Amino acid sequence: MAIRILVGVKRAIDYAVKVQVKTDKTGVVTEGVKHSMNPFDEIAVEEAIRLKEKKVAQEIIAVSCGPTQCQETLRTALALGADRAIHVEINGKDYETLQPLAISKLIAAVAKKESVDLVLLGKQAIDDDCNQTGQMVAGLLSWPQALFASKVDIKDKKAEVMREIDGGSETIRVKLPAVITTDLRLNQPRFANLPSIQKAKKKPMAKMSPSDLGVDIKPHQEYLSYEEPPKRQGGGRVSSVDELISKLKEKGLV
Amino acid sequence: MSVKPCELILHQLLPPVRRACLLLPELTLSILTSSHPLWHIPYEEAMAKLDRSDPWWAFLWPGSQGLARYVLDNKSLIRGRYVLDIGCGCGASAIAAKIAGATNVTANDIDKGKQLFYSCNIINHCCLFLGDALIATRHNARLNDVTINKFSSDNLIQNPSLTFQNDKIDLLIIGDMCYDDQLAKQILHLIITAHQSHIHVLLADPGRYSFKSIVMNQLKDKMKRACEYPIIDHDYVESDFQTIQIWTT
Repeated sequence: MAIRILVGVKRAIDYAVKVQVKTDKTGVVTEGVKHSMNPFDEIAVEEAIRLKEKKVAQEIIAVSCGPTQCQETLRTALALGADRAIHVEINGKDYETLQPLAISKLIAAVAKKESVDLVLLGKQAIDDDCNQTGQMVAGLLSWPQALFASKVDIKDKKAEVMREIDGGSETIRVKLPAVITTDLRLNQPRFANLPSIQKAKKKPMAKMSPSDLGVDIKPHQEYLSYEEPPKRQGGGRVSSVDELISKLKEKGLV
Repeated sequence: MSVKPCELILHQLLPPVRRACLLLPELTLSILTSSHPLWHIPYEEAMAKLDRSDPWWAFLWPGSQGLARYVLDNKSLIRGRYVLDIGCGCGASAIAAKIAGATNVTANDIDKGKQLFYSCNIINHCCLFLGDALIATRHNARLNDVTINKFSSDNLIQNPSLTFQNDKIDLLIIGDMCYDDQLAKQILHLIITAHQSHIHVLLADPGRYSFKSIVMNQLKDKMKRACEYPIIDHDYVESDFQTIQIWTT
């Protein structure tokens, strides 16, 4: 019996954008900045599609929480091969203060509602680097978790997952339903072409609110300040090796 | 930078495809297929080449494939008719209706494409502005040696009764339009209004969610399934759909 997969896709600031902290230090500049699907989530979507291609999975549901623009991210997931999408709409202040615990509760609620067998998530988002959601979803659902996956095999309602750990890898087996988070080496995601995006626009996308799912998204942490990394203090040029050595000696570095 | 007119796109980027799809070997259409390089590059690059978003008219959607096939296979139902093709896209069904002997065919599509006011100048003082889909339809009709009688870019589904009052129409054809809830609701209303105005309706759909949940749910008693075709064209094989169903009032 083929399984059903829920894939989380986050709309994050594009990896190629140079992120800037707002002048009042209350956050980073997001207006007019290119966003795209969090790269770790692309890997999760890709893995789900491969499981479907292997007939291990029968249905892939993509979920994203945030403003209307998240629908573009969901379209990309649909274009890549997800069957349908769920957009949990969160706007304005609620979105700005949205934290991993709230996201985890939302994803857990959708996972229950859709009675999926597997939740596939990126290990973290490249914008806030929290690395919390997968773990908390597993906790909230009391499901086993297999984090930082670099290889996934699913057979007879069990997942064998190779995990990236310090200095090597380990392989674990978990029973489904379970939560798996993806690491960089799991796969090489495909890209969406024009026909797949146009086809995706004809696929179903359901919209709901956190209250539809019975989830309170109130923040539990307060963000105090955002700081940019220290600016690089300019360097200088030396004309010869001798000059370099004497400068290094001067600074007591050799 | 000036935008590329749709004519230019059709002539330079989308050469005519003979036997446009396996279900419609008799049609030649300028559409994107998997044998075209644009099919295989990332979305953003293809959009940049085409210089426009949402080129629905560059594809032959399963519903339109089935609808055009049915029209060509049932010429007796079409001959002498005044046909309106709603959401004509690349125009396959409108062209099929003309080939099947319809007296008058109106192709309708609200696709505006890129607004090209300079292309709509004072040629013969009849400056008919055509959106991309209608330009593609006209182009494709020429490829198949037929002439579409009338082009309309009005949003007819918003006010169907007006359309049916003003134009002489006795057959409404709809291919693959019910792909979201809002559109499906409008199509439902359109079919009901057409039915009341004694206009025959032919609709083709591959079993899209909104069609089943909205249109079929309401019109179970009013519409019957006339025919079913398999989706054999590899370009349009999607896991959820295996067939295209033709429904009639």
